[in-house]
Amino acid sequence: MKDFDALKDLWQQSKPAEQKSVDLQAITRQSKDTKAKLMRPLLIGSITLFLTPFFVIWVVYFSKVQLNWISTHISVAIIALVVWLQSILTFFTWNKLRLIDDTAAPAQHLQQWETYYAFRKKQIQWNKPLYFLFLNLGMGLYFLEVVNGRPIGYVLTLVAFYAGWMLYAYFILGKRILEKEEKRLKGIMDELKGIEEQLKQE
Amino acid sequence: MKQEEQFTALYKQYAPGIRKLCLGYTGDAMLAEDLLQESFVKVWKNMDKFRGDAAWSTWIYRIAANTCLTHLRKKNEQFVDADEERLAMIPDDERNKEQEVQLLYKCISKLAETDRLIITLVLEDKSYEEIADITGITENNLRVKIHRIKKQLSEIYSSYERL
Repeated sequence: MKDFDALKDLWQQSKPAEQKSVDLQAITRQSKDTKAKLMRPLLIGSITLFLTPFFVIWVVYFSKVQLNWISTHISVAIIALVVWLQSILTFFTWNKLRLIDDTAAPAQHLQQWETYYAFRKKQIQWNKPLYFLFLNLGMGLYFLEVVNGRPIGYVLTLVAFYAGWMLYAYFILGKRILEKEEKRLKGIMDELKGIEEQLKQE
Repeated sequence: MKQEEQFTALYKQYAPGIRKLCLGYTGDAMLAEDLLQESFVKVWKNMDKFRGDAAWSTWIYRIAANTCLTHLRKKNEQFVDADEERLAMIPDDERNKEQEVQLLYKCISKLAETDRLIITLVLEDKSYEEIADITGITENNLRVKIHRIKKQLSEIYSSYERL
């Protein structure tokens, strides 16, 4: 059996890999940071969601489209509220990631990531269905005035197309994505737990 | 000293050691380079948080250790397998010193995640106190672990040498 000291000698004799010149711009700009990669879409998503209701309000109240029904006002209120709440939640998730301390001791650091992934796992279970439900409630109310007075064939086609797509998106596409995401998060959490175990007392 | 100058000095001083740590952890040069870079991005972003409670070395190694540990395992398994195949194809008589070092990296990457980091720090001649500070493991526990890992690594290396 090779003596450990011999391995240590071997390690220390090894030449350090070629040192490239230090280019601060290159180091900090190249997006090798996993946390930053996770944070970026959350921040962009949060800002986009925050701005979306303004666009909806402009379309309904300030563009040439004339919509006056009370159901339309309620629908705009529901859509704006749901999307703004989603924006706040996305921002909250972004902040949770931002607060993970990269300089903490490994056990603590792993625990913070585990807490984050556990939060994400719970979040996707209740947040996505609720968001979908209320957004479609808003859209349903909005369509009441939009389709009023249109030929029945047009109404039926629109309802069938919209409802069909939404049901497919929720029950088939959404469930598949949700299951995949849950499996991925569980995998990550199991892995983190495994590493955490390694740090414990022997 | 300006933050930029300080960062450059820290990078020059610690990047070679961190690169070896990452190489020991992943067993793959390209992946190690990515982890090195990710570690130093975090160093740059967190420099204002450094309070001097620990040495720069401990603080930077801890960031690198966290970066390695939270890196998803799936990716490096693919690389390790590919490199193993390449190593297996090299005849014994052609294995020079550098290849022995490469073999050592491969053997380290066979250990459990935290063991890889601990043993790399031991090989880098870090004191037990500093390794304990970096990993957050008590010195007593660390001694037990290091004893076991040394034995395990020697066995793995010997088994590869016999191939």
